[in-house]
Amino acid sequence: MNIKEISGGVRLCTHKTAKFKNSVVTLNLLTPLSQDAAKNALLIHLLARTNKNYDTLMNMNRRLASLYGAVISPSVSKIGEVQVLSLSLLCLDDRFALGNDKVWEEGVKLLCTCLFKPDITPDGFREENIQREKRLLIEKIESRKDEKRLYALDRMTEEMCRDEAYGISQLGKTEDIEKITGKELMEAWKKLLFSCPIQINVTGNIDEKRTEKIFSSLFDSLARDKKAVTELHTEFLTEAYESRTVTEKQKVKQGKLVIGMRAGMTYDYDNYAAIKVMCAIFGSGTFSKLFTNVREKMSLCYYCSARLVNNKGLIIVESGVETENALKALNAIRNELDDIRKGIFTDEVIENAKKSITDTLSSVDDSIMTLDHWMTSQTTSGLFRTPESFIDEINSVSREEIIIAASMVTEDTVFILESEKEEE
Amino acid sequence: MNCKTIRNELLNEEYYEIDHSSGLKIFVMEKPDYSGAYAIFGTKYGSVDTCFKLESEENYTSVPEGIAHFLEHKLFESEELDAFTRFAETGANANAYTSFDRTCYLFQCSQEFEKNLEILLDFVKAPYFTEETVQKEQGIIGQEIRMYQDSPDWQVLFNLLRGMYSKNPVRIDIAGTIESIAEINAGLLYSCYNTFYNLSNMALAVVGNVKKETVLGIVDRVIKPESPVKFEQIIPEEPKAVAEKLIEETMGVDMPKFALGFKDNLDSAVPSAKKSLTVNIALDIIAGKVSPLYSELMEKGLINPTFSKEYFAGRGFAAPMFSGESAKPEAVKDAIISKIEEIKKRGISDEDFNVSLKKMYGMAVLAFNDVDDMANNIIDAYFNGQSLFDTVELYKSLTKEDVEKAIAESFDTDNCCLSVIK
Repeated sequence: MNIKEISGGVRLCTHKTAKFKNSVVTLNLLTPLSQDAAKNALLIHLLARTNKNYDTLMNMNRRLASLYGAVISPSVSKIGEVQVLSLSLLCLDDRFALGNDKVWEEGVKLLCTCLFKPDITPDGFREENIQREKRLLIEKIESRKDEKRLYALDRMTEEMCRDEAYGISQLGKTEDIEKITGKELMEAWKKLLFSCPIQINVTGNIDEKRTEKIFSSLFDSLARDKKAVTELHTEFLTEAYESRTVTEKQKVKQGKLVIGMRAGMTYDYDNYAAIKVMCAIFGSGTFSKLFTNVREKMSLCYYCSARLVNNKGLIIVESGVETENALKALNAIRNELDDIRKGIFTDEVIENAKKSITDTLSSVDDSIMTLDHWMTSQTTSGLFRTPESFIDEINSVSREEIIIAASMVTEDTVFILESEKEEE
Repeated sequence: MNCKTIRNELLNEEYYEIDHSSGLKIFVMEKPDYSGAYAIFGTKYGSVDTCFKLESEENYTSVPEGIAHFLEHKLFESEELDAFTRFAETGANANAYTSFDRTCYLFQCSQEFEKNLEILLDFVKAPYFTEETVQKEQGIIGQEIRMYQDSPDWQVLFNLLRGMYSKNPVRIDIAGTIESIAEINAGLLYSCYNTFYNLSNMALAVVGNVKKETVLGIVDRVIKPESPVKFEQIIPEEPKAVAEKLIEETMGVDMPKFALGFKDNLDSAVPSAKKSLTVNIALDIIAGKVSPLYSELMEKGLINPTFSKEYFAGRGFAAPMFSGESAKPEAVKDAIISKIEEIKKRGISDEDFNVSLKKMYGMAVLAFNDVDDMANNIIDAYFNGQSLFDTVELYKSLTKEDVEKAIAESFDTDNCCLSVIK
């Protein structure tokens, strides 16, 4: 992976490889997660759908199809308290085109047109496009509520981080989306283009010099002022002030249990290796305490797992359980973590955890999408790290470090979605 | 042992197809530039196989719904170390799945491939079921069933299948029901295992940074030769017509979901590669992103990007399907049906055909990127009586008339069902 700053606040990451049959180019625009979340989310969807040269859905989709089914897609995520707005191009590598089509160059041109030349009139974005994208974004938010696992996770995060920017949904809120005007979108677009940090990921069988030239000249023409680039920051709370439980009832067959914990971190890679290994022993993988005890021995659930959100210093446990078993599962989960704090785990499970993590890290370069996601995961870190660079650190974690890492964890918020039994 | 090399010039890819002396079919695709490898070991046995007997047996056995999936869960257990514990020692990511017509066990790893393959072959070929472990699994799978009952996407599909099929077992839930899995016992599990987990009904595919010789060496060591067993099945006769035209269920969702299926009557057990490809192109021309209909439905507020299409097909069933979210599913259905009728009357334009063909070709090539996709597709093709490169090869000779024929044959607008979750 090659990393280079090509313009004020614009970082280009390239990874040249001939093993895939396509290439991926992602433009990541980074902005603080704030009350503007809805506006930014709406904007990135608007930009991806049409542009000045292809101003209807049909024209745009036909153009993409003619590039061998290239895809340009928007996505919105959060990395810590940063809202990441991404426009991704996925297209066939020129080697597999029938004839001499220049798929990559044309695809990149189309992607850049989306960002730099949206379909706007002097009055701003077209009203019919805004209305369509508002509907689609609101439907996306509403639909997320229908998948109860996601709903419970979102609700826990919202409750746990209600006084932090992290509690804001990356897609924004329905009521905020409804109020957005064309003028506000225009301002948001300019603000992002001129002052937000940008990371461009390019993976595939690419000409790295040519790639750099294309993107340098594009961003040079903006003449971005390095000093005006927005600073990004994520607040880390090292411990929970109190543990509280939030309960909701819905007409569902299976209840959900989500537990949010503070991992004791002060920045995204603070004591990372030890916490990562500890978290794997606790609940990531079939060797973990949650899988082997809460699922297999106690037969309480189909899934029960823990994962580390390192860019905010959280550990999140998720499970689907019968409502009458929720407290039993909660206690079982707490006991498993306590056991790690007391050192009750085998040397074998430490090895299992390390092998599982390093196996995953070693195969990041086997999937072009995983490579692209890895690059994006590094956008908010000043120091760009490669997957391999973590392997030695993971392997050198000791039993004592795992115990210390577990003892730093504090439980913050428990969210329980209870099933309101229907009359059967 | 017979070994063939199967090569495709356009993709610059090749793999080996081996008839191993044990009776097992093996596929190996060597990809030295990848870091890891993926192996999948599967049997042609899934949720639709509900009534069968060995040739040597007198009576047919009818098994409870969900037993193939239950068996998949139980195979991970053994008298000594269970398979998950063994895979944990290597760091591999192991898993399994059961679909309508197959059950597959798999792992992906970048370390200790040989040990992993040994574990995979060994645990799938060493069943161990007791009444006690069966009971414990009923709790876990019970929760899995409950989880799917809350998933509107899952429910809208299974309601559609129940609406389209009145007898074909594709209409039953893959995991069964809380009641049906309660009837499962160790004896029934052994009976299914002995019928369908014979090497002659199975296949192994390995793709990644491995050598054919390594794979064969491990198979030689772990797999004991088996004589093929023959079994017979009772497949209920399915009427041509759909059972219901409309199935609605209220789950209280914020965004209503729909699925629209056209019941396709096959003259073979599974659709041929050509049939699958032409139906897929037809789906794209009718309502794919490139179609005027897609834009129209988007602009009218009737669909959103969850709108998708697929040729839902397997052993004994096939149906072109459209699904997604919509406040007015009936209006989407009407628009799709009138578009199909219009195409049937007027034919497909050259431009529409070429745009879709180019797009579908590009997407077909992308299936040759990830080791898991390639191995899964090898198994898929083999179980369907095809070969991995069949589809890519077909693009060269496909005509507009082939697609028009597919529309005439597989999109009977009088024989469709709409499923809606509100």
